Amino acid sequence: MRFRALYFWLAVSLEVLVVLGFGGVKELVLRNSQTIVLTTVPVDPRDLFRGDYVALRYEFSSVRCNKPTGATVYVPLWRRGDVWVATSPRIGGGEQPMLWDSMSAADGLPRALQPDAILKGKVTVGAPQAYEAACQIRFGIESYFVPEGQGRELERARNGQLRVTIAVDGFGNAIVRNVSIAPS
Amino acid sequence: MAATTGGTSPEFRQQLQSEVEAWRRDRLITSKAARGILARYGLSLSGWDVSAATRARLAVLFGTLGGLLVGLGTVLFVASNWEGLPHFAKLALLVGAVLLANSIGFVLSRKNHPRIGASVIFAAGLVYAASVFLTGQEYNVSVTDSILLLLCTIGLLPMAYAVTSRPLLIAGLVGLIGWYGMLIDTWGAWRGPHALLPIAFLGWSVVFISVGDAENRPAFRRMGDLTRILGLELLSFVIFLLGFTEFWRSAGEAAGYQPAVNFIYSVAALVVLAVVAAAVACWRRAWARPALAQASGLLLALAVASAIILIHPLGSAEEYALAFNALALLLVLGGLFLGVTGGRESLINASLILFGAVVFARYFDFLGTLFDRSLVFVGAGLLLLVGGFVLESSRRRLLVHARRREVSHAV
Repeated sequence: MRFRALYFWLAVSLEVLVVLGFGGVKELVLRNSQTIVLTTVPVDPRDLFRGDYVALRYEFSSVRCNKPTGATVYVPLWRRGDVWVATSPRIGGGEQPMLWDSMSAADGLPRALQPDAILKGKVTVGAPQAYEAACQIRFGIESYFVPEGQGRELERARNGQLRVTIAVDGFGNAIVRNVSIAPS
Repeated sequence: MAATTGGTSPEFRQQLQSEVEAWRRDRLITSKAARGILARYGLSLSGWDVSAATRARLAVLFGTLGGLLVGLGTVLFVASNWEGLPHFAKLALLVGAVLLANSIGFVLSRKNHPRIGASVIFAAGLVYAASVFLTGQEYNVSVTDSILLLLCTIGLLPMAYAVTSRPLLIAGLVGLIGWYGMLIDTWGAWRGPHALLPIAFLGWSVVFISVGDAENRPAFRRMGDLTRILGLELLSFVIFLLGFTEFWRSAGEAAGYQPAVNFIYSVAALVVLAVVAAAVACWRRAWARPALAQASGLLLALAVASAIILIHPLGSAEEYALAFNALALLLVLGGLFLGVTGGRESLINASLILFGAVVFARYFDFLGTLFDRSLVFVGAGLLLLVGGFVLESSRRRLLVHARRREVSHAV
């Protein structure tokens, strides 16, 4: 192995910058975000190299749509008591969460119907554009890492007993802050 | 052979000894030739001999295994999910671990412990990769998010070249392929018409082979060789898989799905990148005939495979499998020819491996239903033994011929 000290330390600096930059971008989202609470039901696999983590799904993780795979979509959320939900009786859209192509879709709504938060997601299983089908959407908030051994307690919670606190910034980017068992 | 010391200065003899050691390390000359050359000038191998080379290899092996264990242990240690520390403190600890590991490797490399230093720097690369994943864990980023592997690759590949570390290069290139695989998963590529997938990974193989060939700087020759070998193995693997009827049947079943636009763009971009990389490789090799022949062969194989996949000229899954088996044999013949004429061991080895794999797979495809299972396995075992003997004998003959040509090219 041959190397020059200059190139070596440049490469080390790049590694440090990548780690700090990655953490810094996520920290920016946390610091420039509002906090909202969602309900979900978990499935808890075990990842050998990363401890216990909880897989999370939401009411808007699967939505009937005609969006292609890979499309970026936005889900508006309205506050209902202590939690935020994807269906708003104020709009009269029924029980189906809405999917928007951009955040500016909210601009056309009356003030009283404006959503309280908007989540950005990506369609991972889409549908042919000619007709609607059940689309799977990921928002980057489908995993929560718990201290080793605590996953079982969360796994036992079912039927909306889990509450997920997430931070959402002005662009729809979200990070999970905390997962807890809802008070009964 | 009489020693010749008269008329040669001590400086010449000292430089000769270090040069002969370097030629032997780079396999330009054999051990026997090295001893003969040194003996001619009254020099002995007191500073270097076979046992020293063995100790050096053991040191590298132990160091690399130790580095792997340290890296994995770091991941497991931090994966216990600390509680109570703020984000910044955890980030600082991770960055500190990266700096500390690299600093130790740097000091060892500079203090006459280059091999252990290299192993520690490899472990530092694993610590860096673990830091990326653990930073993601800190912010609950899913382990399947492709950004994690991309960030690992961005850090590992420059470090691999900065210290000419082949283990780090392997980690970086595997991370690059893994990143692409995860990225296209978000576009549904593995669920949809996966007939497009071979074009993408054939493109990657041509890029790797071409980048390896383009690397003609002496200090990075081994890095280029390794990149080329990885590209050849990826090419062989993809072509081998395309020779299976089952692949084409399942591709046919998924033919009704429309691939995501982003996936199509990425495949097109890879094809363009492959063409550009092949052209750069030819330019770096001064448009020499062997380089042009190899680049042409690779691009032609990519074009033929893409045409078969996209145009659907054939009728049944069996016909597609047969076409790609024929392409595999053409690649084997082309690889052997270029390997022997160009003195490229890696081409010869990759071609023989592909040939052996295709013959083995087709043997079971064709005869599995006609013989009793026990007779098939006995026959297969005998065939493997005979085949292995024939392959090794022909490989040695081909390699001897290739090395002769490589030495004559060097002269």
